[in-house]
Amino acid sequence: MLTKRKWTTLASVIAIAVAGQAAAWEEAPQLAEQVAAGSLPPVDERLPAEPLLMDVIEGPGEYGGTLRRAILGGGDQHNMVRTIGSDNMVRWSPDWSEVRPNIAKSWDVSDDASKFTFHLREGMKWSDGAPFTADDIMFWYEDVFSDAALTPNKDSTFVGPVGPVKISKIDDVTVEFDFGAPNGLFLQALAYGFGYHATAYPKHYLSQFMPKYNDDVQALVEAEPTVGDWVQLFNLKAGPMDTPLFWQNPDRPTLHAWHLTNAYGATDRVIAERNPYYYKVDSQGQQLPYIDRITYDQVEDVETILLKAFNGEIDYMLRHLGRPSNKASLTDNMERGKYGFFDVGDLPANIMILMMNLNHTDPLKREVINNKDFRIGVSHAMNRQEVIDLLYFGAGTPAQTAPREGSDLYKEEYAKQYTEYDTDLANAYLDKVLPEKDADGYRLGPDGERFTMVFLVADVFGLQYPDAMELIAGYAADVGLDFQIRTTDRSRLIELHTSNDFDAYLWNCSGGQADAYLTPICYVPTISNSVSWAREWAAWGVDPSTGEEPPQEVKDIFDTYNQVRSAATPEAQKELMQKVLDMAAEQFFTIGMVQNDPVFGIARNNVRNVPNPLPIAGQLWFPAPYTAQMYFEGGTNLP
Amino acid sequence: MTAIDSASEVQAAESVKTPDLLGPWALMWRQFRRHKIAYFSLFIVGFVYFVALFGEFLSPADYLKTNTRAPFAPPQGIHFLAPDEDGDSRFLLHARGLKMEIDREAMRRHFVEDPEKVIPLGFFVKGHEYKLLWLMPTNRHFFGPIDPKQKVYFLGADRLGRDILSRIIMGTRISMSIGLVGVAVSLIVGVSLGGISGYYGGWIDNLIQRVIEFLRSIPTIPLWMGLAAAIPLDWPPLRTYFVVTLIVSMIGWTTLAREVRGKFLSLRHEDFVVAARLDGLSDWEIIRKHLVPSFASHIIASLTLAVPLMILAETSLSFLGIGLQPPIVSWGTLLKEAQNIRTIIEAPWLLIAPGTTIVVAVLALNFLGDGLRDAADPYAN
Amino acid sequence: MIGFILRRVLYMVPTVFLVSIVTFIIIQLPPGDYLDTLAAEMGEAGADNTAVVEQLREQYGLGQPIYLQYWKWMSGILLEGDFGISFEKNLPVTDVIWDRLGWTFAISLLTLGFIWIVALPIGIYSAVRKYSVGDYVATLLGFIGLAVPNFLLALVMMYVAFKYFGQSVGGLVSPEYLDQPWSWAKFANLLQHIWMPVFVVGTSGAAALIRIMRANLLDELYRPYVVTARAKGMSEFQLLMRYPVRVALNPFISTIGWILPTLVSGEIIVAVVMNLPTTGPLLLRALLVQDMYLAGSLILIVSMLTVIGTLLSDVLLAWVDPRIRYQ
Repeated sequence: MLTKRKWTTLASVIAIAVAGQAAAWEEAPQLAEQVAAGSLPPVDERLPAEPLLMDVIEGPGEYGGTLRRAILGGGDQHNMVRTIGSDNMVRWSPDWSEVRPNIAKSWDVSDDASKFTFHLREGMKWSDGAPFTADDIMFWYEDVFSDAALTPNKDSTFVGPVGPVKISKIDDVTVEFDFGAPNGLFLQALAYGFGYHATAYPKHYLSQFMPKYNDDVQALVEAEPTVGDWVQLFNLKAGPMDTPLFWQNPDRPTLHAWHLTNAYGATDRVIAERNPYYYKVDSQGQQLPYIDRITYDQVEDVETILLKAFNGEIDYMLRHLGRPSNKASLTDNMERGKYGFFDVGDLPANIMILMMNLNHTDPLKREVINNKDFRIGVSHAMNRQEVIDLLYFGAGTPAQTAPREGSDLYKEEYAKQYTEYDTDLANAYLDKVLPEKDADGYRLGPDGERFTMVFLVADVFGLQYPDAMELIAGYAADVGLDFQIRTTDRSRLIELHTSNDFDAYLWNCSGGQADAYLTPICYVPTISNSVSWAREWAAWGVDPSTGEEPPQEVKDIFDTYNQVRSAATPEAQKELMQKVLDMAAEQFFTIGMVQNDPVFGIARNNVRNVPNPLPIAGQLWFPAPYTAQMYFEGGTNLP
Repeated sequence: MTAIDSASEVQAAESVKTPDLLGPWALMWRQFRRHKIAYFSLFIVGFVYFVALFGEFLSPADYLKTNTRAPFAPPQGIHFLAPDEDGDSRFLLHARGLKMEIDREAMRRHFVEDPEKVIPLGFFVKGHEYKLLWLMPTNRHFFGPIDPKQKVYFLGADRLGRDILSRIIMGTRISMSIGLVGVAVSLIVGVSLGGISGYYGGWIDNLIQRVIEFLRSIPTIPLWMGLAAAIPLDWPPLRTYFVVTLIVSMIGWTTLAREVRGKFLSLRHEDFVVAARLDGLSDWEIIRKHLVPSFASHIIASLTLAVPLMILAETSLSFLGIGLQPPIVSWGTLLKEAQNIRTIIEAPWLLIAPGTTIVVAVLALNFLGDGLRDAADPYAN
Repeated sequence: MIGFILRRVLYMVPTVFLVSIVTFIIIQLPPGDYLDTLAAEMGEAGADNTAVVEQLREQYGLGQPIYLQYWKWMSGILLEGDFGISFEKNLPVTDVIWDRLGWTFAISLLTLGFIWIVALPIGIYSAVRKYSVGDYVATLLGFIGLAVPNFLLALVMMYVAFKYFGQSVGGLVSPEYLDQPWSWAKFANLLQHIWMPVFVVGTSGAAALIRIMRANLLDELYRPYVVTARAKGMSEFQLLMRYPVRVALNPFISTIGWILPTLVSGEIIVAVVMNLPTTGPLLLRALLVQDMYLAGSLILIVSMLTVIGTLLSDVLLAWVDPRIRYQ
């Protein structure tokens, strides 16, 4: 039985009201010309019956202009993902506080939060003009998501506590997601980046690559030099958004505000043109997006991006630029480049964490690392304030890996325990674990040899990790610990830690704000590409026949977090999550160093409706859902 | 004529004092001294190796010591006259203290020299502990602030407030030794293979020439990158450093081998070689006693010219972020750290100081090699 | 002469074969493969997609043993002219590289021209006026060109161009011309940009050649035939140009052989800093992310061109200086 808790936001009420007036919509002059020339249907036919009335940041804007950005020559697909890619069934509000309608105009949730019914927009269309209906979602569900060859491993967004979702079509504009058990966090998850799957598979285009729909698929396979069978062909044409594949197929229709006209990586400039069928309007009835196109100029070196910004060749960007070390030179060139700064709430649980391997394969090192006194000792040895002053101009606070101040899960003791810089205290704790020292003053391990830990470090996130590591190794040496530094590149570091072949490494961790619920990777052992501090326990948590059985305290954390996932109400979720955090803080898995202050991005002086502050996080692919409502004052780029 | 006879004759010739007839080395030296810049460069190169040997003694500060009060501190000048209590000026070697202000909005630090704050400087001052020449523990340093608690940055400080002068001095040891070790490897491999190739000729010459041609046709950077990336991460920094040196030396030996081969080719039919062979000397003896001395000077010159190439190769490797691991510092890593727009704008001395050092050292080595080469053929003209 | 050429061409075959094997080993040497890079990039999205990675590993045939991968690659090249695919771009390698090789050639030729124009007169002057002030200045400038790391020069020049000339930096044309068809305006814009990389790449090459030219010419200048010619009253200029310079030109011809590998490899870094659309950045990126068929094919092609270049220069040398032929 469904008892309906109907979401009717102000937006959809107005949208329905406006929809009553026929032909009230306005479109970009660029599109009006095409309509006049007969190459495009009129705007009323392109928009769905009930377009989304977008909640703009400042006010309605004007059409025109090219949003110019820079993109690295390879591996920078998130540049596009985070400007145009994330536009899901539902979306987070600009301040990341609540889930709002997006592609779905509304939804109903069953009382136990196990069934979710979404109402789509009638008459909505893909970027090539083909209709978008429940059938597209069913195509994805039945032929892609449920196909073991195409989806050997289901995305966790669509897997509930008892298994993958079951989706059924009610009618052309209504679909039901049934998890079979309470899955209270599903709407949040759907609003994050990976929720895109359900609405990214246009049946009319992608079905041609499947033998089920196309008897002659072999001809297509042969025409494509890089593939051998239809599965490979499908993977090539329908690649995941977080790989370059998605951005190398401009033929694939999307529901995004801009649509690529050429492939990423093949030319010097990637261009995304306005999607004439985009389903959002502003309060004056103007169809979004305001900005004509987005261009991504390929560069090979981040330094070039900086010079481009100084020269005013970049209209809106935070990626690669918003680093403390660039702030001074960007400030110097503000007048020349005619840009200003906006705040970016990139606020993870911690930006610099000593991840020590609690599941080390060497029993000797494992014993030491698993001793909480050892970790407490190391924590007290760290002069966090000096790191912050030296590297980040004081823009940060000494803290452990924990929810941030201001988030509803914040507790002072999570963030502040053992953060006091006190070498005497550190030595006292370490003496309990490694009392003996050698002639050079370094502590000896239980085997009588010098106790050495090798820290892997890569120069990532623009956070000067290699520099930080030199400081950290210095603090460790002050209390007799031999920390060795090995600088390497990101992929090798990840390869080593995911294969559990490491002592320790330096990284950051999400979960500082609302994302703690869905990505508690530093509070609950999780199999992850970014953090590994107890991989064997994490493997056991997923499947007890694999990995290694953790101690009872860690098992309790697993249990409690599973309760969080199935809790139906936000209140119950919060209470249980707090319990998880209490237990994790007691365990003290990772040693956090710094919680940063907001970072920054640049926008040229006539770019309006810029979200400020702009929240971003690992799974929160902002500003993508809000780029469509940005505009150039004057309708064109500043000279 | 027997071998014994010829040897005694040579001895007899040497025992006669003829002041006008100089040996080849003396002639070379005389010729070399005429090349003024090369002669001058010899002293620079000598000085650079001296710095490499006595790095700790010469560096005013610990090159790893960070300082929160001095990130991007500009170079501090040395002043001679300081005001005393009466307001008169008196002679006192000193530097002026820096006052730091942080502009948090722009994330920038400003430094102002404070003429009131006098930091007296002196020679043979006390500082951090180290072992002179890896043996003698001491804490004396050639030049620096008399009070060891004071900090002076003669060439400025880097982003972590580390003294750039000390870092360059300590980097000298790494960079110059990479040049030396690399050249030694090139020398051994190049001379033996080039010698074999040139002396024997035939199929073995052909084979070695093809190997050289093949090695030269592979672009060096991919070769280095492949090799450097294969270095296991758990190796200690020192071992990594030696492997990097070996990798860098791979460029050197082919050139040398070619030169040696050319020399062998042209010398092998010279009368004195034929004569020696007829005398029954073994191949090895001929090479050692007659061939090598006749072009040793050329080899020395080529080696001198190879050292700067190695130093530059190491900077390229560092630029690519492969090779040396911290805390090891080389000129290349220093340059790489400064290779960004931020440094050019905010702290150009970080680029200028190591850049100038590299240019001067490479220049001196090149002039030295050039002079040696010009002087190598003392009988010409 | 024909026998000489034939012999040299024959020698090329084993060399190229060896190069292909070593190339393949080099690109396989670093641990891991392209998919580790992809997995690292995907980590930024905040969740894990290990299954996708495994799926792709199969798709790209990366699980296979190395000799099988080599065989697949080589047979594709030899039989079908198929260099494999670029994993990162998901395009056949041949679609990716020709544009870039074209630019590389263009810049190589310009650089070669620049080097010759600069090195020839300075080298001759330096030798003729040995130990004069001019010689010292030329030597000094030449050695400075050798001594300054190229990437340093590149960044500083870019900054100067930006700061004092207000030029749009990076690339070979300004952004507004990027997706325009070729026109005179675009060509003019290209000329405004292209001199910088040519200069940066050319300085060290020119410096080296000045030194070689000087040394070789010095050897020739004191030969008896020169003295004889001078004694017969030949003008100094004619005397110089007719024989010694011709003989000393040999190293210039040799440059044809090494300019390409130098440009592609030594100047990778310059091309990255200056954002040039040449093979350098493509190769560097391919090596870094282990996009192995792309990297391997580039190295192979460049090596082959080098071998061919060496052959060409040797043939030219043999033609100019018959003594070489019979060695």
